[in-house]
Formats: sequence, structure tokens, C-alpha cells
Amino acid sequence: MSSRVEILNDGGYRSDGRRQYELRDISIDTSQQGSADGCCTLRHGLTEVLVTIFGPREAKMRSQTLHDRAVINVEVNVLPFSTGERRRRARADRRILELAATIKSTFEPVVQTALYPRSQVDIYVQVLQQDGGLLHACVNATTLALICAGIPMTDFVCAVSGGVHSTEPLLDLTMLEENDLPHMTVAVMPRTGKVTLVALETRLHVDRFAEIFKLAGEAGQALHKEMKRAVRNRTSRLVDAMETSMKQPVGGERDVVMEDRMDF
Amino acid sequence: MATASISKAERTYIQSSLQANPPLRADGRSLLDYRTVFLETGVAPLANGSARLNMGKSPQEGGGGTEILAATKLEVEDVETGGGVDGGRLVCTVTCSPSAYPQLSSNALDELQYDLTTVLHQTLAHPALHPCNLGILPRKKAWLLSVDLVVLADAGNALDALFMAARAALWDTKVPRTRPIQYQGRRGGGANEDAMEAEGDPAAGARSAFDTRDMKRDAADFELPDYWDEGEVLDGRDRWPVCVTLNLLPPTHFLDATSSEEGSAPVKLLLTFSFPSNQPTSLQAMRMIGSGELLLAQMKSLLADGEKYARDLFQALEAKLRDEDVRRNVKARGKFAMR
Amino acid sequence: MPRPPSPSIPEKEFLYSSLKQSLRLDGRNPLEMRTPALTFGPELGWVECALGKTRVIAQVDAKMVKPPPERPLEGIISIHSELSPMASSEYDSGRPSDEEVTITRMLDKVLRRSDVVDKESLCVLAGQRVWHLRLTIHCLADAGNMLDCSCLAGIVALRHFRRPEVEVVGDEVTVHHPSERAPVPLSMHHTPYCLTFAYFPDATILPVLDPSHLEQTLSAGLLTIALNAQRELCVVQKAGGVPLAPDEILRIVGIAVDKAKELDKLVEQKLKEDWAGRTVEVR
Repeated sequence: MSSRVEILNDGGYRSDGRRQYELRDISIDTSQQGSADGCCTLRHGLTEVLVTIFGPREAKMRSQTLHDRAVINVEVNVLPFSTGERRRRARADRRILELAATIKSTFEPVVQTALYPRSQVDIYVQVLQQDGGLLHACVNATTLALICAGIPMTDFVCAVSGGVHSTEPLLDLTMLEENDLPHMTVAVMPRTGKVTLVALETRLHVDRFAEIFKLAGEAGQALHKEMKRAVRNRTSRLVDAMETSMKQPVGGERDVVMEDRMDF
Repeated sequence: MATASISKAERTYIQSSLQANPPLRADGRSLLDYRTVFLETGVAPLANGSARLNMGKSPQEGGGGTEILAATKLEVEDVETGGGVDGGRLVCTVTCSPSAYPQLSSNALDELQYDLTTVLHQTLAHPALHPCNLGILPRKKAWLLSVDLVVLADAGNALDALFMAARAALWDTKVPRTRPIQYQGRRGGGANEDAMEAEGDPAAGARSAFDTRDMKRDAADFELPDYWDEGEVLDGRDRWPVCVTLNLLPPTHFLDATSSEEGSAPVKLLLTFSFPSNQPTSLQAMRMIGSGELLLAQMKSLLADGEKYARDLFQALEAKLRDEDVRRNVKARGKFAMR
Repeated sequence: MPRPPSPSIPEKEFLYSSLKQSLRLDGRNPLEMRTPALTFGPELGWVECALGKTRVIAQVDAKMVKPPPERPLEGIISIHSELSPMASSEYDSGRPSDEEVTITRMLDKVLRRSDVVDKESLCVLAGQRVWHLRLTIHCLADAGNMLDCSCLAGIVALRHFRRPEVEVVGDEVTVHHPSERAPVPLSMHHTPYCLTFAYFPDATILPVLDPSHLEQTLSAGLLTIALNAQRELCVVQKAGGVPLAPDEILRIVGIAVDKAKELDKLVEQKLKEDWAGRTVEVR
């Protein structure tokens, strides 16, 4: 590992200048990509993922469909240049399969699959850059992409990672912090405040766990506001576009009629 | 190559409008027009060089088009023990995102990836194009230059876009400066030796230090000197080829097919040209894809035409890449001034 | 291969209605584990663990290898888990299913990533010789909660295993046969136990610990907690399933703490019993 960097200095600042509970910059881009039904490029600091949704559509493999609900299929692809060291991961790599399985089971109860029997929803995740918080970026991006695709869900799923530095809880860890600290990812459904995903992989005392767990739940609510704003922006843009396009084709004549009426 | 299947009627419609006089295309282009290409270099901060290319993005909605992400990464390889080759080597890989080909099964996707990788790798890793600054220490260490290309969306003509993106990423690649270090068996030089002598038996200490150095006289390592920029540009970056795909629809041909046009042209001729400065143009690769035949005489004129198109494309790309360099340097300088 | 039939509707309704009255089909309380039966083999590091009809064999062996250059001071631990169709017809020999991936990844996280074995103590000669521990887990039968059973088998096997004594003189490494010198136990940081809770679609049904096969198939989400008796969590995994209130999760974590303590006591006692019977054998 590189030289020892102070994770939390005496002034209460972290290595990238954030405060303990400060989240990284989040940027959301939901513009159209290729022929996808919905897509979202989401950046948490330097971590960047692109999620595209296809569906609900007819499944490629008919045998895998279910008669009473839609099947969710998740494929994750980590780009070889997304980390500092170039590493090619096969698609059957266990870590990637696990990530895909986690995303799949997180969204299965949230997406209203029962509305689309015998069909399939494909979620393709491209990891463009990694700097910690991969799972939470994937979950947030998938939520937004599903919303953009117009797939009905019961609620948002907002995920945040958290960790502890000695006794101080931190939120939204970078790669550097993740390597050194026990950390976990929590996904909440903001409307009910319930938790759909908890993933802790490093040793942590039970009392500390409770502390970060609660904190991450609150941070999820904050993140929800940001995500909701992005969805609203997109929708208002779409509505504007619809209005202008509805006016234009019938352009000249109707406008004149309107003016005539106004003159009366 | 993978194209969305189109109906017979649709195919005939596209074919006959392409062969009409004047030829008609769905997006209003002439036969030899390219769609608008958007190119940005330096998009992946963790790579040594990178580029994002979009061909045919619709300006209003900001979506659609063929989208390629390319990045190069340099790694040090050991020539003696590792898999390195003296003078460095280049490996090219193409990955296709399943979202670019939603209709393909994962096996078909793997095959397509393999096909594209072969075309790109065979062309770009050819010794004639090899940059000469990939060696670090002769017969010891060399750079492995891996070029990774990702097809994020395919709206036709992925091959031309792939070559353009690869060229842009390679153009953007900076090779870190290295300085070879030689161990010299000079006697009584370093402070290290003095310390050893002071410690124990003076004679033995001096000898052992000398011995190890003697052994290493031949051996050499390198270091990365601190310098203000990320390194020097890759050698021979004007040599990297561009590719034009001629979609043949006798008696005419057309360029930059969209996916539905790709499906209706029976034969494609892939021509890859390199235009090194001060040297004659060379044809780097030629492939005929699809079923059909070509008369030899036709071939000659097609080659000549292809060269012309490729030169135009090359010049446009070159100008854009130089622009990008200027843009990024200005940005970097601005950042520097801010500090 | 044909998928095994899913439980029938009457079966499902019977289970749900009995669970609603806090009754389980095998007569356990909702938060009661099947008592693990640990059988030790003649060799050190061979353990068979049974939770009801779920049975797993774990075996540890060690050999000397040259360490990889990037970690010259650490031993190597590798875990091989074999989920063959023998355990249950649900496991196919082809591409790993989601369940298999979860089990192998969890084993890896609980037994390797949480620093169970002190890797530096496995180093014999820096950069030259280290111990390579191989833990093989064979799943013999799956009657529910394969994960907890495999983790328990794995951790007990590591505790039970003893590696041969080595002596290093200069660059010379001598490995003493167990008959010459008593083999030494592995130096372990802690002993994590894995506990799985199953949740059901009906929110009025309380979660059950250590679900049986039927309960597992009909559950609407699992919460897996791995922790040691010192109240340190190693892995908490709740991937999807029914959403739970934060307080509910903390309550379950609290229950897991007590269960882990009980389990730890049991394992310690079994190990002690076995070792008491064994000292006679070692000359």
C-alpha cells in the first residue's frame, strides 16, 4: 500500500478534505444511451457507473421466464481500466457474480415484477471507474435507471457506505479509506425508512455497527432528495420537450386562429 | 457482423433508395458523408491515455449514436522472467457492452467481441506501427501497452468508430519518462560502505559490499524521475491507422452505414490506411466481410476511393486531436495558474 | 436437468399458518438452532458437522510452498467448497448458481477475509517457505441452511487442525513428523460463527433462526450474520428480500450475539472432549 495517509486529522477533516459525515459530490446524468429504455450515469466522487435498462421485454431464453412475474437479469461488467492497476476480470469472476446477485436480490422485492408476467427486465451495469463505494453507486444508479425506464417500483432504493475510524464514524468512503477501515453498505427505502440491503464484510464491534447503521440510514434520506431532484428535472425536461413538439407540427394555422380569437 | 435483423421489405426499401438517383438516405446524408463525430480525449483519469467517441449522436436529445470508450494503460513487464518482449508490446482488447447489442445472447456477444478484438489487435500490433519508446531497458524491462476499447452503444459502423477511438486514445497516451540506473562497482565510494566498515570487520565488510555490487554491475534498474507532466507522447503517433468501411451495393458504395443500412448492404470492404508524415501511405489491413464477389478491376478503383476517404477522415481526426491537445493544455495551464 | 418441484400450495399454507402461531414443523422454537453434531475424524483437521440432516465435511491440510513475491511474510489460505449434485439436486455441476456463489463468497469472507488465522504465523522463512492451508468443504446433504453448517464445519476444522512443528536453523528448515514432536495448533485471532435468519412475506410472522429446507425455500429473504463470541461482527449480509425496519435488524443482531456465545461454548467443549481423548494417541 502507499504511504500512510492520515484518514481523519485532528481538525476533523478526511484525506480528501471532507468532514466526517460529508458525502462526496454526486452527479447524475440520465440522458439517452443507444437504444436502452432507461439509463443513468452516476458519479460519486471518482466512482462512476453506467447502468442501462432494457425491458420489460421478451426474454432471450424463453425457458427462464416465470408465469406470474418478470425475471430480473443483472449483468455487471467492470472495465479493465477502472482501477489503478489494470486487471481483466472474467464475466464469471465470483466477485462480479456476487455483485450482480446482490443487485438482483435488492431490486427483486422493490420492482413490481408481478405486473409483467413472462417477461424480463435486463439491468446492465458498466463500472467505468472505481474509487470506493462500488456497491452503493451501483444500487443508486440502478434505482435511477429503472425510474427512467418507467418501470414501476414501490420506492426508491438509496444506498450509502459507512465506516469507522477508531471510534469515529465516517460516511461515503473512498478506496483509500475502504482499504484501511471496517466498512459497510446500507440501502434504505426512504418512504418507509426500511432497510433492504446491509453488507458488512470486515470485523466491527456490535455497538459501532449500530451507530453507523443508523447514520447510514439518515444519509440515505439525504441522498434520496438528490435523486428525487434528478428525476424531477428529467421529467420536467421531458414535459417541456413534449409541449414544444406538440405545438410545432400544427404550427402556423392554429396559432393564427388563436390570435384571431384573442382579437375578438 | 451483428446487426439487428430487418425485414425483407425494409431491406429492399433501403437498397432501392440508396441506388436511386439522387441517392437517398434516411438521415439526409449523401452516400459519402459521415455522421457527426464527437470526440473527447483524457476521459479516464486512471488510464495513460483515453478517449470517448460518439458518432451520430442526435443533437437535440443527446442520445443515440455509436459510442466507444477507449483507454490505454502501461505496465512494466519483465522480459527475462515475465511475458515481456524486448522493446515492448501492444495488446488490444475490445469489449462489447450487452447494452450495445441487446438482442444478442452472451455467447454471440463473446464471439463478436473476439472478432472485433482480432481485427483491431492484428492491425494495431503490427511491427510496422510499433512505437519505439516502449522499451525501458534493453533485454530487461519493457512496457506492455494495453489498449482497451468498450462498445457502449452500436448504431452502425462500429469498426470505423473503434479505429478512430483507438487512434485518439493512443494519441493521448503519455509514456512516463524513465531513467536507467546503473550500479557501478566503484571502490570506497558510497557512505553506505563506510558505515559497514565502521560496524564490523573492516575488510570483510568492504569485500561483501563490493561483491554484491560486482554481481550487479550488469544488472540495471530504472526510476521514474519527477517531472511536471505525465510523460512523453507515444512515438509514431501519426502512424496509427484509420479505417473506412465501404458498404458495397453495386454499382455504388456508401460510407458510415447506420445499423439498418448495415443490414441491407450485402458486402462490406474494410480498408485501413496509415498516413505517416514524410512517408508514402500504406494499407494496413483489408477485409471483405459478407457474401458476394468483386471484380478485380472494381477492387482497384475501390482502393483508390478508399484511400481518398481515409485521407479526409485522417485529416479531420488529426485536426480534432490537435485541438483537443490545445484545449486540455489550456485547461491544465489554467488550473496551474489558479494555484 | 429438471428443477426439483417447488412446495405445493397446501404445504406452503400449512407452514405459514403454523409459523404464525410460532410453531415450527420440527418442533423447534422460532429462535432455536438445531444442535450441531460435531464428529471428529481420526486425522487432525477432519470434521463432520451436522445440523439436523444437513451434513458437511471440512478438512484442512497444510503444505509448504514458496510465497508470492508481493506477500513474502504471509502464509496462504485457500478454501475449496464443493457443492456437487450429491447434496441436493438443486446444485448443478455446470455454471455456479446464485446460491452457490453466495455460499462460496460467504465462506471466503467469514473464514479468510475476516482474518481468522494469523497469516504471519504461517510464515516459516521469509520469502522462501510458508504454510499453505487448504480447507476443503464437502457438502454431503442439504436439508436447509447449508451456509451456517459449512461455516461451522470450516471454523471447527481450523480450530481442530494442528500443523507439524518446524525448526529453522539458518536457512535449513526441518519439519518434524507428528510422532517426533507434538504438532502445534494454528494461531487464530478469533472464532466467528455464522447465523442465518429467515424472513417471511407475511410481516406478522417472526423471523426464524437456522431455517430448514422448506422454510428456506418459502422465505422471503435471509439475513446472515457472522460474529464471534467477543461481540465483533464479521459479516452482515442482507441482500434484498423483504425490507426490514432498522430497529428490527439491530434486535436480530442482539439475538445473534447471545446465540454466538452459546455456540462458542458448545464448540469449545467438543474440542476439549476430543482433545482429551486424543492426547493418549500422540507419543
